[in-house]
Amino acid sequence: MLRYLSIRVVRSLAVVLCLSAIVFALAHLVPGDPAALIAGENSTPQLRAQITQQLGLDQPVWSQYLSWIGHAVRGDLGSSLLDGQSVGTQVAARLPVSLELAVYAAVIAVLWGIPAGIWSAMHQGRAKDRVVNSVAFMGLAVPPFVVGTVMVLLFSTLAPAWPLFSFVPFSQDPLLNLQVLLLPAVALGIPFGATLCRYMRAAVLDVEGQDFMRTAAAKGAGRRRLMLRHALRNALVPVVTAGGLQLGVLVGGTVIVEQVFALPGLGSLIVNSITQHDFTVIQGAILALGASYVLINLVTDLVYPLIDPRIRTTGARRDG
Amino acid sequence: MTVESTAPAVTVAPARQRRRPRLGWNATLTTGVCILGAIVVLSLLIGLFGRYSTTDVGDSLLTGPSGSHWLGTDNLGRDLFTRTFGAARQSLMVAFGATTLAALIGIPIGLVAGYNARRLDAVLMAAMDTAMSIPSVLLALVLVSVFSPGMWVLIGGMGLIFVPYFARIVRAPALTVRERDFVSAARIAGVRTPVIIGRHVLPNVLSSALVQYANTAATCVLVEASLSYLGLGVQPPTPSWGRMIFEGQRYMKDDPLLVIVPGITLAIATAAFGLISDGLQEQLNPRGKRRTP
Repeated sequence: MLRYLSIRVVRSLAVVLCLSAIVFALAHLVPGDPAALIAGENSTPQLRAQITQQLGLDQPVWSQYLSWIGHAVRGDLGSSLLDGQSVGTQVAARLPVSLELAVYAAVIAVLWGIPAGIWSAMHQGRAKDRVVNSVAFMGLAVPPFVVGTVMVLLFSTLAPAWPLFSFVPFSQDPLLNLQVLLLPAVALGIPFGATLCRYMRAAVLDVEGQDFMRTAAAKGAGRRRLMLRHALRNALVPVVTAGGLQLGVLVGGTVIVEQVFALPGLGSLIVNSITQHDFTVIQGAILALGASYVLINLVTDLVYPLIDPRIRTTGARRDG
Repeated sequence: MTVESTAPAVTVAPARQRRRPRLGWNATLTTGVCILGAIVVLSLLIGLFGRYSTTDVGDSLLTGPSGSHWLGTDNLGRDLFTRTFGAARQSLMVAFGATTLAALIGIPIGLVAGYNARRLDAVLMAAMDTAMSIPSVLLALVLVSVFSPGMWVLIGGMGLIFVPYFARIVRAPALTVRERDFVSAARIAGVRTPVIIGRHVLPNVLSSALVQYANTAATCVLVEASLSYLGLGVQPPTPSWGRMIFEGQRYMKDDPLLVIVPGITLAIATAAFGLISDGLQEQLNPRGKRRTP
């Protein structure tokens, strides 16, 4: 158990370090002199040299990286190249919006995807199964930003009273906040739920063919008990693995959906900074979003031992 | 009897791991291929014989469907039908280009990792796993923030991002094939490793790679559309489904077709790749578990 946990934690740290190196390296591949960007087109060479020295740009790359990552660990992500605002403050203000959206979408996805998958597996080959399959299939094919755009169109014509582009923080008005985030969360939750639905269906069908299911049925377990007590618990293991891997798609999706609904999350910060070539903000925001994704994944890894007792004893992970 | 005379007596077993799958009629696969083919043919026909070009600006703005503009025009008077299928060209070029690049780099990595096993395998797969642990949209955003966005950046960037997916999917069958008798026989017969990998291991991993190809192409279509929607993909005035949806958003109350037509075409194209992937899965692995993307 301890071995399992430590491997997971070390791996997560390695991923974050790797992401930080990529983000750092790419921002340094950009053609052009950052000092010139800050000082402006018509600045004097002296001013540029001064800024270069201040930012440590004259140091070797690895020492710049070490100092950047050292500050990042302490929450200091530098300041914006354009307006000098602290990147850490901006990220801290926007990260909760993105995370809330991702969690909200995941909840919606689990609420429709898992039951739909089970239901479809229980009616395998019949019309109900085919309907659920087609819905899940279409859910995967339509990207969240298209669903979002169509929902904006529908709601703005059919329900003009619905709050569309006005974000309210959860702390200010929880109900209104959940209402505002409902459409973006549904847009993201449809494809994620479709993925879960397909995994769940396959997993239940897989478990149903196992010997212990026949044994349980022979011992007189009813259809309901058979499903809830014997099938689901085993079917959930591969679904959690696969779902955890798909969380990355969900995090990436928030970037785009935030843009559709004009939400003040990390995604819109990243997109705006990219168009304005504000590299310190891009670095900080992508690192923060990536790191929080890794953290979410670590949490799903910690859920494992709860549903699969084999991990608790051997530390081995059955990748499904 | 000398050693030399016995060596050729070792026959190298056929490369196919199991009987060649029977190529019957497969509804899912056929539907997918037909839809995709129709999109390709339409986009080529419109490019060659269409009355308008994708960037032709006209006087009649936001007209809605009419005889001269089948699906109407956008806010600059450009023909929506022409632009939608012109966008298909960009989208499919990015999808096929990036996926092919990813396959060309990823499959050799997976083969080498799976066949050599042990240390090299551990190192390569740790690297692939780390790369896969970072959401692909974030990686794509890093890339387009550095290089100015455009079609070739999309192809190169997304091609690199999806390398680990091919390496992973190919490695597992490569590991199993490695232990098979015909590979050992070839090794004992003195066949060099690159030849064994190319002639005996590669054919056995191709079916997994083919399914992955369809899956990755579908993902590429979606990622390209998403990036273009954000203004970080295909650059205007070149049409792209994502960008058309973004531009149409402002006028969608007057003319919802501006958003709905590219949206539905995008969904149909992605669904076609999905059907091909599902169909290939049934075709190549009929008894096995049906995997999801």
